[in-house]
Amino acid sequence: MREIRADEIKNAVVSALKEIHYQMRPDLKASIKQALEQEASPLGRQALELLLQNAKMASAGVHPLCQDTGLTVIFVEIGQDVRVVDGGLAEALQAGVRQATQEGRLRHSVSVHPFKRVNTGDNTPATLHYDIIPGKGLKMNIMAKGSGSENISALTMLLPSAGEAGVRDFVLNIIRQHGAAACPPLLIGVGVGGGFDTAPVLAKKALLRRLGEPSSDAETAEMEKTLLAQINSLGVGPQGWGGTTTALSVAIKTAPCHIASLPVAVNIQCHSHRLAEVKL
Amino acid sequence: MSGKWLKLPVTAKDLQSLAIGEWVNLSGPLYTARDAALERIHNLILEGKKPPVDFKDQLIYFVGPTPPAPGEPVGSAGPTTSRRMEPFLPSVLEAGVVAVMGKGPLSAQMVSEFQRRGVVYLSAAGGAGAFYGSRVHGAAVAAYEELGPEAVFSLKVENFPAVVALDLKGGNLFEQGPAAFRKEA
Repeated sequence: MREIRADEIKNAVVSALKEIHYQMRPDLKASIKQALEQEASPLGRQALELLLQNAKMASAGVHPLCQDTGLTVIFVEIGQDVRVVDGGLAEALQAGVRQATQEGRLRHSVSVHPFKRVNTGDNTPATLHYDIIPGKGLKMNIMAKGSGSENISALTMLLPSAGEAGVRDFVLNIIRQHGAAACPPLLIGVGVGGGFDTAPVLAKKALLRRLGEPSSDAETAEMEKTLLAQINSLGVGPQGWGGTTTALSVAIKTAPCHIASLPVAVNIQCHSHRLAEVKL
Repeated sequence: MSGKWLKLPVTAKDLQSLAIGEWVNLSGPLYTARDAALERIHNLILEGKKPPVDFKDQLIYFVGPTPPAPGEPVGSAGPTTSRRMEPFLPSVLEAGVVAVMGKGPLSAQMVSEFQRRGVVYLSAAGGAGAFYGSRVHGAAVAAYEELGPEAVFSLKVENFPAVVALDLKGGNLFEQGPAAFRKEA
């Protein structure tokens, strides 16, 4: 049995959050630079240039990349031979969020109750997902999820006969109707299969993949390519001002499902994709 | 951004001269508000009471900044989604606001409302909060301090760029911009 101190986990969350709110991910920067070369709209190119300039300014550590410092979502993969000592795991994760909010000067963006709208004042509770895996490892994917993009995310239960085309239509309709409000260029996470509860988690997990890396399944990779081209033909463009870069990537994850179901969840992410992978 | 320099508070003549798709660089004072403050202001106006600040001829910016670093007026301060503010906008416009700045499109109904009242809509670049925060040179809470990031702030901005999204000639960038690049089969 490997023992990991709760403090070590908390500290890892603090440093990851302080990093991702000020430093743009290299894969994202490369993707925006590539989009800049291909963007057909002059206004679109200016918007992309502004995002690169924004990243440069944020890296000085004074102003976070985006004022919507988001709801923190942590995906934990914990080996079954790991034991967290000197405190609880969930408690350590939440304490990390609380401390990073203070030290990283993050905005307080969480309400106690969906109707009462009183601020919790420290960005807790973060959303926590756990997977128990074999071995002695502990891995965390730590994401700060803004709400402009989260608000246009959606779930549908299609008929199996709708097939791949039905899934693509569902995604395209979301982007056509609401994409401009979600800070394009967007990252699209799609979860297909599972059930009503698991498809949205698949969609969010799809966003954990490095940009530019296709699905390991050849057919899914092909569908990602087709869907990305279709999204970019909608004309929405950077900031919704018109252009050929509406999305930077489409990542699809599939899972087995009931013979009568075709669950589809789409998690939209804005270009301010703040994510870190931490291994302990 | 190379664009038109616009001194705040804006004049009617300046607003008349704007066209969709062009950059403006704002300098001067503006008021911020977002969900929670706008709801309160909306309710006050419905009750026939005065809003906590005088919005006449003002530009209102939808933003909830992050806390400032020591010695800075604000932290990150990019725009938030304008469409979410729509339930409260007619009241705020009634209070005399002449220009609104946020991100993303407005509904067709709200576009007509803006056109009817002669209000300009500016689209700031969403997600450029560090950039915009560095263009804020002064900040003071003007109302509702207890709302934290959702308070009404009076900000002094300098060389603060945004794109004209609704002008006074009936132009709508969020319609016309994408239409020029749409290639759907």
